Amino acid sequence: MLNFVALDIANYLITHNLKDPNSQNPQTVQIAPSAFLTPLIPHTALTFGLLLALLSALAVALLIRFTALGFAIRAVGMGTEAARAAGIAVPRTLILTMALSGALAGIAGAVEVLGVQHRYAQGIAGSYGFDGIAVALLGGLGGGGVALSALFFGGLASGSSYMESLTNVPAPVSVIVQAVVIAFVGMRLRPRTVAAPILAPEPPAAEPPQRKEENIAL
Amino acid sequence: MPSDAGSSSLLFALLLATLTSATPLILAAMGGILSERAGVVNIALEGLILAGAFMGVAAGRVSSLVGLLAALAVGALLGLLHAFLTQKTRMNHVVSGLSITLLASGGTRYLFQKMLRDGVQIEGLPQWTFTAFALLLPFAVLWLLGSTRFGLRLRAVGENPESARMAGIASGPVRFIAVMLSGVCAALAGAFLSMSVAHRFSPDMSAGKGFIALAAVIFGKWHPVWAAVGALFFGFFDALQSQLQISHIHLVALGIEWTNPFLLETIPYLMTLAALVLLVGRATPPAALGIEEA
Repeated sequence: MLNFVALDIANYLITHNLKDPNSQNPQTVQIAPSAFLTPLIPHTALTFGLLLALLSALAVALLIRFTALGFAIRAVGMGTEAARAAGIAVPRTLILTMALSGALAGIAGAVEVLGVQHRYAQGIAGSYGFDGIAVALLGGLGGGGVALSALFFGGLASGSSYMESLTNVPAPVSVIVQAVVIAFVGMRLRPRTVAAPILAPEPPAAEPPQRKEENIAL
Repeated sequence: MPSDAGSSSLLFALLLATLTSATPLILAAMGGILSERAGVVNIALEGLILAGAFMGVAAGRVSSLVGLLAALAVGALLGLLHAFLTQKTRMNHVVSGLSITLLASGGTRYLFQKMLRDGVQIEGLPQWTFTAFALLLPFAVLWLLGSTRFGLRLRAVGENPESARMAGIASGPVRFIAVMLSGVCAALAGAFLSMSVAHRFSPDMSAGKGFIALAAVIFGKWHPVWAAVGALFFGFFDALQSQLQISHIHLVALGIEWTNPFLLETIPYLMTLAALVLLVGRATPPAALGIEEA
């Protein structure tokens, strides 16, 4: 719900206190050229933001795998009760995680403004936030996978506008493709092994002495 | 006394606007409750609303009844899809919901471009039909959950599928029916938006209502009547802010124009959040919510 609040406040600011006085459009003035992110390839919108994105993917992967905070985050994610029992401060972990998550999303916004738009205008956030969730889930919630799935979504997004102009296929088809890909990646079609042991009587112990002999023989 | 007549008509307008704003939220929130009390997270509500809204207009060109039935049918179908993905392919409930929402968003946008581009308008149905239904539905859901055999099974499956199975209740069929009904409710919310309010379809017209409905579910602690109260609470402040927008009240203080439409729009969200924190407190979801079978 804070999505709507944040959007509304930003829209208020760009029509009032931060409005570009030389434009009819609801937008801020252009940022100083010295604050532009340097393009990796001249005359394109591909800037050092890409490196920043890859770095943050790596940093998040390392944080989650190798640090105490990362361990706490994983534990809380798997079950708050068990995490609390293990002595992890659950509220503290949640607050820190949300703050980090917000900071990362903030970098995304900053890269979009400093690298691509060079000003804040209405609606530049588009559906990046929502797509980000899809990218994270598709990438298996890990750094490397997320980088790949982001590349895939980026390809679909930029490809869809070309597709529409070159062929008669409307751009929304790319959204449908995204949905279908997420659905198929998310399926887990392993054979079902649920609760068979509970319903069936315990099988008799499978002759442990023989195994011991085998072990000794090895 | 003209001033009295004026204020009572203002109150009446406020009441009407509250009901209009709350109707889709109540309908979708009942969908959320049916699904979540059975243990299935339903982030797909947003997409189900959109799909219902689209079908209401696309098929509503024939007749309103056909439009309504088509909306309900697409809601039931997408609900079944959500149930299939989460129960049969054991997909994470959030992933499935997100994928269905994307599918509905892209699909309706695509079909809109193909079929309704020239802004088809339909006569639709009068608002009071949906609103009356939305005001009765929470009590029907309460009865269904609390006083019927199916409701008991639904709650058992949502709290502890393991124990439910020990008692001879298979979670699969119960969840399939619950999530299908959930889709029908959400699609009805969409049909209200397109058939009774806008009389036309526009892409992404659900505008986050599915997520607000989920907030209403939490507001009501998964109880249908309290969730409806939550939806009415949001609806009231939404109505209040839009009345303030068309009123000629101007309040400028500390260099901020507080009566600006953008800032007024934040009121219902902030009030709902404040109420969640101050009045509702900690809400405990159904114990087996979103837990996939191993």
